[in-house]
Amino acid sequence: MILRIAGLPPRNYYQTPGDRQYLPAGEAPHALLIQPGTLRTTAAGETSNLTILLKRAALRYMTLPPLGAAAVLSSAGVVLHSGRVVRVTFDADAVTVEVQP
Amino acid sequence: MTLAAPLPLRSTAEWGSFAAPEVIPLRYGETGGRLLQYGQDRIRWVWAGHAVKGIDTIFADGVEVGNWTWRMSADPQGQPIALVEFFGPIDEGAELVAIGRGKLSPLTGAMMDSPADVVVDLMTIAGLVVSSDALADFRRQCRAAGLTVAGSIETETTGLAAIRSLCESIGAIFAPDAAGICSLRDSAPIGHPRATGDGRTILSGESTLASIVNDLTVRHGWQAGEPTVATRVVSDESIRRYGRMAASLDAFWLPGSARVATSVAERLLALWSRPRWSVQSVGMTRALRVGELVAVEADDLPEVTAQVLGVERDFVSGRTAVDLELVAGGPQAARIAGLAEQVTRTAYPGITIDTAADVRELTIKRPDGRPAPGAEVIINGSTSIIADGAGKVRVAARLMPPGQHLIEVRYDGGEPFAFTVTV
Repeated sequence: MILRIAGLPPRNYYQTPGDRQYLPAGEAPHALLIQPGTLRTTAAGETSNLTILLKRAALRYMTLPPLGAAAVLSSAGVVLHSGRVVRVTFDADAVTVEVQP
Repeated sequence: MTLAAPLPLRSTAEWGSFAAPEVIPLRYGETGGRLLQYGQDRIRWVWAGHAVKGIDTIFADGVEVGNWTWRMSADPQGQPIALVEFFGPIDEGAELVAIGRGKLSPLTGAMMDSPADVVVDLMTIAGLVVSSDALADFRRQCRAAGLTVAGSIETETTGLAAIRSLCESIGAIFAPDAAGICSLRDSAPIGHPRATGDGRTILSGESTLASIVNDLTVRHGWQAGEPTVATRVVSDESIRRYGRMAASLDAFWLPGSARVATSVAERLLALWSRPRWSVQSVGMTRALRVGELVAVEADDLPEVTAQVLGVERDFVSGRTAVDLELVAGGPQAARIAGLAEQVTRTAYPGITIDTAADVRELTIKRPDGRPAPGAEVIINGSTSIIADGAGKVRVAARLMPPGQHLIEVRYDGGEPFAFTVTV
């Protein structure tokens, strides 16, 4: 599982060593992805959104929060969800990134 | 008395029973407001319940009139009133609005238009003992920024609500127990050292795209409950990066001066057009006060300076929880997009249209006068927009050029309605 957030430079947060083969060449890799949350979509017209949990250490790359940046969650090269970052939160343990189409 | 209690405002009921009781207004700076009937003859009217610098212009139903004089007088209770006398009786039902220069400082005799002086006056009226010197830093900040205020208190309100409204109008923080009581947003408090986190703190935080504002319209120069001017400031760089995020600020205490409004709007946009971290720090042992700047240190954040926006202190453990705001990224230039455009307001049953610069703001109301949040507004049968939580929709003026337009409104819990408006 890889979360790629566009920026200067683009950053790729991956989950397991097996994900490394799918990392874009020449882009910053960080083994900081804990897990994606549930993709929530309703028939009430609510915008689908996905939260992705990263290790707290990811915060050092988000001093300028990547709000509005394009974000893609993929697994083994298959895109699971894409959109832009609308919210970033952190606590003592983790950083949560919320992505909306 | 406390700031949370209603201000002890005087009422026209003290004068007799010739009109419905109303609050006798307090007026500050160069401002305008309705005249109150003073006597059965409809010749004498009152503008304010205190000494004022002067009354300059009077409008009757929107038309300037010249058949009047003004003077300071005293009412039957011996209280000062700013009295207007017309040369003849005013017609029943006429709306009289006077523009003037408001309350005088009891210390200097000059008109009070410094935000610090008005805050001191409101706190004093609320029954608190506060020295003018207590707000010396705030006074200096406002003077350096060229800030003045203008406004009236014409209805029942609390001291807290009045001072908060004033501070929101000029982009200031108000905390009665804070160092200096008031402080302009983003300016370093004067005379207080920076505090530093003690390294044992637990930090959590949030940053959202929705909190960014890069297209700000400030409505100001309020007279008799209506804005007379709107100033719009945008940050092109922020719009390019995050998309257009528009907001409006009803600055009830900002005068009609475009210079003052632009100064406030540019300072607020410099903060709001960038991402901000709203951070909570728990466990600080150092005493912090609202408005202070704190050098935040955490393992995975570089040292940044943040402004304290809230403090909770546990006297048992001696620990403090602090709300901080960190502005991220470099400053982004702001430009004036619409300077001191006149606001024109047109009212129809169920809808009010405010036009300023290149935007029309439609406020949708239910038959009982309450806003209709979430209403669907269809313009000329083609453009459909959903009203926000206050029942407002903003429409580019190019979609509603001068002329007639068909407006259809549908909302939950009521009958749809439609009519033609002229803008």
